[in-house]
Amino acid sequence: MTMLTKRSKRASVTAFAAVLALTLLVLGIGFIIICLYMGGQRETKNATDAGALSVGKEVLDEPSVMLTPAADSRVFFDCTNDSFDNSKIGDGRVNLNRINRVWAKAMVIAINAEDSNAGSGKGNADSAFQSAESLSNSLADKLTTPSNLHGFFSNLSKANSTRMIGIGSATEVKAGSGWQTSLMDRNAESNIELPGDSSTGYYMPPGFSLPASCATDCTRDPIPNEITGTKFLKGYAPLQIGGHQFWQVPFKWNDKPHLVSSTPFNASQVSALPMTWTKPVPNAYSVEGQAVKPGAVGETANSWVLSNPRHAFKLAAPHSFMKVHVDDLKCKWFFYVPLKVPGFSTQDYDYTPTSLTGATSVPGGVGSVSLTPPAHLIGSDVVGRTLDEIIFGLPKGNTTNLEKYMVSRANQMISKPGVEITASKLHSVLDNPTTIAWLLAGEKDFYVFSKDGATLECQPKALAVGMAPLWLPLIISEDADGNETKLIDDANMPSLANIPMPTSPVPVVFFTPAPPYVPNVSWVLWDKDVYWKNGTGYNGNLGEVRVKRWSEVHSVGVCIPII
Amino acid sequence: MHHNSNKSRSRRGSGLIEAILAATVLVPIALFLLDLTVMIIANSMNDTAAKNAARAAANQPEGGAAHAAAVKALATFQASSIVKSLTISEFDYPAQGVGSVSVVTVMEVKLPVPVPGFSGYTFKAGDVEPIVGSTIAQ
Repeated sequence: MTMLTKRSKRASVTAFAAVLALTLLVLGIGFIIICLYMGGQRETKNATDAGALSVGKEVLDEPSVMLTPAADSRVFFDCTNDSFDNSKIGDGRVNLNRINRVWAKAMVIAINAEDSNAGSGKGNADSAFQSAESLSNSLADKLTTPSNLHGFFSNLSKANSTRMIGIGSATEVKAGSGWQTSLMDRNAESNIELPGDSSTGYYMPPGFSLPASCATDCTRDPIPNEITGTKFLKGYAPLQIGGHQFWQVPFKWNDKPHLVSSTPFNASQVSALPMTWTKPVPNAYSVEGQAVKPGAVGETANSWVLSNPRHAFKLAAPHSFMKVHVDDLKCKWFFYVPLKVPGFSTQDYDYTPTSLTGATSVPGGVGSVSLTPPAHLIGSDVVGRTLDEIIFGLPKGNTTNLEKYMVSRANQMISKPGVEITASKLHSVLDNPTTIAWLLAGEKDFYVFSKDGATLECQPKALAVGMAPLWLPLIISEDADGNETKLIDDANMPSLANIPMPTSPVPVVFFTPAPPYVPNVSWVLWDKDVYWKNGTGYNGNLGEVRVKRWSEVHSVGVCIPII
Repeated sequence: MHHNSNKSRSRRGSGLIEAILAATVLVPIALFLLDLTVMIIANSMNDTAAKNAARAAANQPEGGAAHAAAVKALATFQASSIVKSLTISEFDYPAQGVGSVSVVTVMEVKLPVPVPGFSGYTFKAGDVEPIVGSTIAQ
C-alpha cells in the first residue's frame, strides 16, 4: 500500500508536468491562432481600404457614358476632357470627373437663354438641359451598379498580401449589400468656379442675376489662401435656372479621395436624407471585401471612400466664340429745305480718309434752287482705330449693356480656374493693334475666342481657324440662335476731324446766298449703331456684335431776297 | 532511521529528476512560444510599417516627395535589441503619378532565445496603395 502511494505520488508529478506542457501548448497555439486571426483581419481591412481608395480614384474615370453624334449630345463634346486647355480635344466620354462640366455648360446655355431676345435659344437651352440630365442619369445608373466598380477594387485589394489568412489567399470582392453609394458633403462646393464674385454679379449677362443659392464659398476649414473669395457652384443643391433644376456633384476644393467612416456615409445616403434630384450622381462609395484562400473564406471587411477629382474648372462653354461684324461704312448727305431731307446718294467709304462730295440737292434750301455740298474728308471716324475703338469708341453711346454682354460671354469661354475676364481685359483684347491693319485691308468679321481656355484672342476668320484648328473651323459658321436687338441707337457727335465748311447755294431769282457759316454751312457728324444678336452657345456661337458706322454730312443752303 | 533517511533522499532525488525532465520539455516549449510570439508581433509591425509608408507615399503628387514621405513614415521606428532595423527595400512610384505606389519594407528581428542555426529572421512586407496625391494633368 505504501509502495503504491509513493508510485502514485511520483506519477502525479509526471502527469502534472504533462498536463502543464499540454496546457502550455494549447494556450500557445491558441495565442498564435488569435494573433493570426487578428493579423488576418488587419490585413483584410488594409487590403479592403486600398481597394476602396482605388474605387474612389478610378471611379472618376470609369464608368463613363459616350456621347452620341446627335446635336444635343455633341454640344457637350468640349466638356469631355480633363483639361481646361481648349486645344486638347476630348474623347467623348462623360464620367464623374466631367459631369459637373456638362451640367455647367448646360447651365451657361440656360443663363444665356434667359435673355429677352433668346429666340430659338430657349428651345436649344431646353434641349441642352435634357441632354445633360440624360447623360447624368446614365452615369448615375452606371455608378450605382456595383459590378462596374468591382474591378477597381480587386486590382488593388489583390495586390496586398493577406498571408496570415493562408498561403495563396487574396482579398476579393464580396458582392452584396456592402456595396452602396452615398451623397456626402451636401451643399459643399463643386469643382466649378464662378467668374468674379457677387460684387461683379459673377459677370452674368445684363438682366440676369444668378440666384444666391447657387453659389458657395469653399467649405474647407480653414479656407485655403489660394481660393479665398472664390465662389463655386453648390453641390447637391438644386440650381434653378429658367424653369429647370441643374445639379452639381460636390467635390471639396483640392480634397484628396479619402476613406470616411460609416456614420457620415450612412447619414448621407438617399434613404436617410432624401434629395429632389431623381437620379443623383454619387460621390461616395462603400465596398466590402473578403479574404479568401483556396477552399475557404477567411475574413471580411468594409470600407467607405469619398471621391474627388482634385481639379477645378470654371463655369464655361469651352469651345465657343463671339463674332464681331463691322458693316460697310456709309456717308449720308442731308439738306435742309427747310426740313431735313436725305440727299440722293449714299456713298461707301473705308478706313482710309477720302474726300467725298455729295450729289447736288434740288432744291438746295430756302430760296435756293440747288445746293452742291462742299467736299469733306470722310473716314476720320474710323481711320487708325482698333476694333475696340470701332465698337466702343466715339461716338460712344450707352455701352453699358453691350460691355456686359461681351464680358459675360468672354468669361464663358474661359475654363481655367482663377482667370477672370474683366471689362478692361476684354477691351485690351479688342484693342489689338493688328485689327487696325485688318480693318484697313477690308476685313469685316472678327472672332473672339479662347484657344487655350485661359486667354482670349480676337482675330479675323482666317487666323482664328488657324489658331484653334481642331474645333473652331467646325463651328465658326454657326449663327447666333437668338434675335438681334439694337443696343446703341444712333450715337452721334460732330466730327472731331472735319471743320465746318461754307456752302454756296444757287439762289432762285431775286435771291442771293445768305452769308457763309451763318447760316450757310456744311458739317460732318459721326454716327454709330451697335446691335447684339443673342447666342446661347448651344452651337458654339455665344452672340454677335454688329457695328454700323456712318458719317452724315449736313448742308444748309439759304438764300435771301435781294433788297 | 538510517533506512528512512535513504528513502527520503531517494524520493527527493526522483522528484528532482522528474522536475528536470518536466522542465526539459516545458522550458523549450515556453521559449519556442516566446520566439514565435516575437516573430508574429514583428511581422505585424512590419506589415503596419509597409502600410503606413505606402499610404504616406500615395498622398504625394510626385515620386521624390512620395519617397521622402515614406521614409518619414518610418522615422518613428526605434531599433531595439530584438528589432534591429526597419528599412524600405523597394519603392515604386509611377513617373506620371498615375496608378499605384508599392512599398516593400524589411525588418531584421533577432530572436530573444536564439536557436542554433536560427538566431534571427528578416521579415519582408509589401503594400500597394492607389495614388491619391497626384492630380490629373491639366
